[in-house]
Amino acid sequence: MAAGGRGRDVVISPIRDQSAIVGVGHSPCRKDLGSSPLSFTIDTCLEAIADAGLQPTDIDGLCAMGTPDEPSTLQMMEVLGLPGVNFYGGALGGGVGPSVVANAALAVASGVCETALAWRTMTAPRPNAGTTYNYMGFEGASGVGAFTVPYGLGVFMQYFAPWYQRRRKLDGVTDEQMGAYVVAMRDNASRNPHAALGTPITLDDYRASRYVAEPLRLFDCDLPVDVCGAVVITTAERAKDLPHPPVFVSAVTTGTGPKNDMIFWHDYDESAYAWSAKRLWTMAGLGPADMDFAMMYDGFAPLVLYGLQEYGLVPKGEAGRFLGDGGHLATGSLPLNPHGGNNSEGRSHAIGHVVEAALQLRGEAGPRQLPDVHATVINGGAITLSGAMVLHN
Amino acid sequence: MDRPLPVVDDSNRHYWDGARQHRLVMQRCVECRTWVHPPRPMCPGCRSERLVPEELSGKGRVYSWSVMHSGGNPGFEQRIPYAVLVVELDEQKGLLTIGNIIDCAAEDIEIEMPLEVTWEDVTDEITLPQWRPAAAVATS
Repeated sequence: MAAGGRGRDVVISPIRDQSAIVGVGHSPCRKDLGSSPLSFTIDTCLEAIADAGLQPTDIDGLCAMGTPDEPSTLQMMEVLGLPGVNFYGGALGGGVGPSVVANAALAVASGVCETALAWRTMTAPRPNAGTTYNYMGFEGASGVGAFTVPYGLGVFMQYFAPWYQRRRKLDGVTDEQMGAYVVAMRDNASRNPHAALGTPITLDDYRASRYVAEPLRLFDCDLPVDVCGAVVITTAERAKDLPHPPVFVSAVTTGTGPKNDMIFWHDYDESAYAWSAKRLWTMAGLGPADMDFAMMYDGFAPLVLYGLQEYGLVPKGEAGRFLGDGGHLATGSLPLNPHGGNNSEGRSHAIGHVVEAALQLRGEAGPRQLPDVHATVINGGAITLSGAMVLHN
Repeated sequence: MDRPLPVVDDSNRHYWDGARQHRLVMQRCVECRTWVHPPRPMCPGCRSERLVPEELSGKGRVYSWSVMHSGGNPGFEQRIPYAVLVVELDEQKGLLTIGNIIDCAAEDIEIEMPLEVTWEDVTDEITLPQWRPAAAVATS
């Protein structure tokens, strides 16, 4: 197991527990929210600021990915009417949703700014509209694509399938085990009014879903939706005076290496998640066994196999069995993604994971609330990119 | 629409020139003998910039694969379902290349299955390395 457990806490991280999530906002996940990405991003950010008991002018830091379908930090500064900010930035590495929040937490913890707003906005592809984030890969057979596109390997969705195949063949992961995960996510989503796919399914429904890139099935893939999630982070000191119980940021990490793409990565049995796991527990002063639930990125459902194993939450090679045994259920040994994950809530690059983690640790997750939870780990990133955070109440 | 063919440039010319002659050729470091693929200007093993083309044995094993059932790849709509292999070359652990399987049904692919390169002459300029089960393997 990775450097886990309180007993091995030899390094005191200067950012540990110095910042806290104090406000969250989350739009519904829908095929068409009926307003522009800028409009629903404004609404969601205002919701997060109000949830924190603050005014927009209290915000002096902004973080977002800045992909083309998302309002930029500068755009939001202007529309929120801020006089200026002390910090603006992107993600801390490759975890997208968790990593924009992580960068905000770093900025607050280190004193670059006092109160930061982080968001991730994504949009469903629309006919007759401009290009959105759509998982298309190489457009031509040049660069690395010269060695992949002529063989019919040019779409992002296909790149992860051979990784999943290794887990099937080497670890014995089955349709029944991955199906148990997806069935549970649909069930969790049925208690999440924001979710796009909240209708329960059976294991037979999962098995009947078509292959997109075998062994990856359609139901393993998240649904592209209009969505924004927003988070307000401030100093641990200031958080004490705000309306909700603070959700402290114990640690944030990222990491990758040594290859820069998913196909020619040298070793499909160890992903970039292992790099963001390396310092995570030591920085946090908490270990995998201290986690009451886990928020693992599942844009492709089998990504959770890597997340569970490489953050040390289950032994290597055991993630499939863990799912088959129901360890991930709300009643299991380590509940996973109680909001339904990106798999069933909708594609948000795990910003939904961050919002849910905060709600669970505040005890405000309504019908999804897990009993007696104090700490969680969140990860993001598409296997060769990573970002993680540990939160506690 | 036909499938896109590789765009030959200065970085990969050795590879496609070799393929046209039915030789599997990749960059190799003169100093530490590390194979480097896809092409790069410097050896990640020893930071030498002396990388030269060298022929490989054309032998490898199935590292992983996927059978593609969905579209999005120009020129492949009529071929669905088709298998894409990730091949680990015998010369070096972690040295991977991509290809399609020839003379083997998708359901017969197995992990670590021995493979040998074969050649698909597509145009006068472009030949694609492809892979088939290694012939006459004495033991397995």
